[in-house]
Amino acid sequence: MTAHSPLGNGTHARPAPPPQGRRVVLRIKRCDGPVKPSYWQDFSVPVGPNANVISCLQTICASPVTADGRATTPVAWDAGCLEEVCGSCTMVINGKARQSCSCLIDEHAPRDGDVITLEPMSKFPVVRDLVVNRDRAFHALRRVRAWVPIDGTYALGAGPRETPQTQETRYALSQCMSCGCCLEACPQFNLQPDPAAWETSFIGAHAISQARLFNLHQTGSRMAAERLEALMGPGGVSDCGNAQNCVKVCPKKIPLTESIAAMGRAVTVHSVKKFFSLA
Amino acid sequence: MLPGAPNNMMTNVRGLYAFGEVNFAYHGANRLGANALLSCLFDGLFCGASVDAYVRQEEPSTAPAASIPQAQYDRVVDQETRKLEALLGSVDPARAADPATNPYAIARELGAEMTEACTVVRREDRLRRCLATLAELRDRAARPCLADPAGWGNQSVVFARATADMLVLAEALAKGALERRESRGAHYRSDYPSRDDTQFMKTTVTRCDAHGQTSLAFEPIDADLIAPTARTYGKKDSAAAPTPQPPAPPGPAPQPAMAATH
Amino acid sequence: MVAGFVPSIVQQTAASFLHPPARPRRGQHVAQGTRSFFDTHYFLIRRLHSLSGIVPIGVFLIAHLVTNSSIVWGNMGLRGERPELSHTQGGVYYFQKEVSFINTSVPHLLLIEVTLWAAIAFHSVLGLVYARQGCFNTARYAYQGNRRYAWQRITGYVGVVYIFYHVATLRWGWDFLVPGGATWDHHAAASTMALALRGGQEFTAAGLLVSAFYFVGVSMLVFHFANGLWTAAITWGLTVSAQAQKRWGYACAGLGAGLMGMAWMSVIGFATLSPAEASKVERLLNAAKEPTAQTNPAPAPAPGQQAAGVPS
Repeated sequence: MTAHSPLGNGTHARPAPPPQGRRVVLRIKRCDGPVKPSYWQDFSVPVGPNANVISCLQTICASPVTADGRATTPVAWDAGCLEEVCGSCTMVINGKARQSCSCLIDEHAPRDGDVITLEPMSKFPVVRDLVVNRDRAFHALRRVRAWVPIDGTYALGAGPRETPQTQETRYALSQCMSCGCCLEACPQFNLQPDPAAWETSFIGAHAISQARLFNLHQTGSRMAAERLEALMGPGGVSDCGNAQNCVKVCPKKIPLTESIAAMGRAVTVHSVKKFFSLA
Repeated sequence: MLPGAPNNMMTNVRGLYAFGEVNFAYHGANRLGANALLSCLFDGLFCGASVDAYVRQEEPSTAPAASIPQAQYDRVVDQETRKLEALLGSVDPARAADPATNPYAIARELGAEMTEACTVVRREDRLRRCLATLAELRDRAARPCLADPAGWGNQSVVFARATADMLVLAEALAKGALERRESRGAHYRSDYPSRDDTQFMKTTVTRCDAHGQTSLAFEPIDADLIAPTARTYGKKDSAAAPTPQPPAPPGPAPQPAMAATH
Repeated sequence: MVAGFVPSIVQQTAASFLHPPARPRRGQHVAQGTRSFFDTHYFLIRRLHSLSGIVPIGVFLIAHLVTNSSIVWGNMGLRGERPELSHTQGGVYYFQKEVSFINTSVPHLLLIEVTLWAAIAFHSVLGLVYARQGCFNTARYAYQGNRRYAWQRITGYVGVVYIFYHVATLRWGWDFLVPGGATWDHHAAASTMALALRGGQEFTAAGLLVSAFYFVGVSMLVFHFANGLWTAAITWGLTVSAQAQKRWGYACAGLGAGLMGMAWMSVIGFATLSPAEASKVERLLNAAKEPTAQTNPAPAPAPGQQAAGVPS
């Protein structure tokens, strides 16, 4: 495309576009199934403009041959919305957890032959290759009852009013997609393949933040005490180590550490009230 | 649609409902971003009770799953197992990278072709070419060659089947766009730029037979309650705009490929 | 024929094909076994752990460092009471006065000490248990907060060893762990402290090691306290907004810097102190204040004491 195209491209001062017709190397940590050994494979992938990690993985599936020319199986990966709102394509890219759909090759590997490493998230059991089982993250949402207790089968009339301030706070929290980035980066949240231990292992920043979201909802707050009790138990908010990686890696910039502190305050107040039988 | 009627949003496969984003019914010719929210909310609120009624009043109560002979289940399991085995039997690492038979390569070609021919602006000759391409892609997709023999987490198998389904939908879409010789909503025919209510104020219904062949029909739209008016989006001087159509009532959803087992 | 069951069968087939067998079923809550005392009182114990780090341990740390650093600034604290003393001698004099006050005038000293030791033991043991839950990942996520998370735990581990050594040698009289075998005596607080740090009248190699251990240990504990104070405010919900956490972070850093200064003053002040010279000042004080204390054993006459010069 020329700098004077009718679409007006080139009117903004942008860094020189990466060379076209180039290739990047995808170094992928693969695994054939649960508890099978992991191994690394390199793939040399031709990339066009605006390529992202998912489009590169599709290219690999269309031609499953490693960089040294050996035929292999297509890489397995998870994806859903492809617009960074579902969280299912989360993986560890160049050492950091993020969504692969919104990870642009031109940003991460601007030159010909640059390497991008892809690994499955380490805090969840691997299903195959880059696919992990995130059930524990969703189980955590059940632990804190992250929902509003109405079933919608009959008319309840107008809902309670919400102040713009609360709305603003809640909106930020509502963007959570339970992708698992905060859990992957958290030094306190570690691999626990045994579902029997999920009830008492660290719940994670996302669930603490969702407990806050629903405690701020006027109807949802009917279950506030239950949520706080869940957060006070083993693996609750007390297990946070305040490393604050969660807020750094959150793709939605959710103020997770503020949620953790807010829930810390809530359980402080709740426990004092409970001690004096006021709650 | 009566509240709670078992057939609300039920497809022509008994007991299979089309709720949410798969449901085209509420937006007529336009299906803009975030419109799915309405389908999801309305279907959930209004039609959830229909499923309940179906389960309580119709086949699930009169002929519960336990009363169905095991042979019927076995037949379907066998049928699906054979499909699976056929796909796994096609595995040949030496030929897997051949774009002629690799499902991912076929899907990529399909995407490129549909983006070229079947987005907002459409034209008869391009659509005809697209249908020819789709026929060729369907032919290739019918005899895929996979690279993954694994019985665990094998996405190629799932994707090969999904590609075949995508091709059926793509053909239905292209045929509908070809037959609708007018412009309406997000469907713009550069060779027929005006709306034509006399011929095309109708719902396109595509049926898919057991062999995945699609056939097209138009169903009239009941516009008794609201007379179609020009959709001007607030513009005063566009009197020349043709009269628009009211929202389409729900019709039978395109039968999914899975219904071939019915 | 009923077609409704077909999709579920297909789904089940697909599920058995694609999903791991260990996958927990949706909505299935794990049955709670018998919960231990630590589980039922999890929150209380966690909060007591947090609280014990501040009261009494943190409060004591501040008082302890103020007293000990007076070896450097004590002459100013005398405010001209003994103008004939040099700066160093004044420090020794003031420090000895403080120590004597604590050891003779503070009521229920043993009770206070035992409470403190119990609190430290409680904080240490639980801290070791809690620290085992985590797994450092600073290599991948080299954020400042994450580094502090790691250091909080490292300083905790080292701090436990350091405090044990410190208390055992200087309070419980485990002389065999002190190079040179000096026994700390509150009548000769500065000189015996200097002997313990130096390994004798003059620095020995082992003494250098002990001094370095003190320097590292006390620095780590100050960091542990300052950073712990910052995290405690989040834990208890005092600082909720990121801004508040930042401001409180500056406050904790300020406090930490002050305490670190005092910690370094203390270690360097005692390590560079000549035990013999200090001993002279202490005898002066003991003679003036407690004539009957003449019979007290003088600070262990260490080898090389004869080499100690007069105050310069």
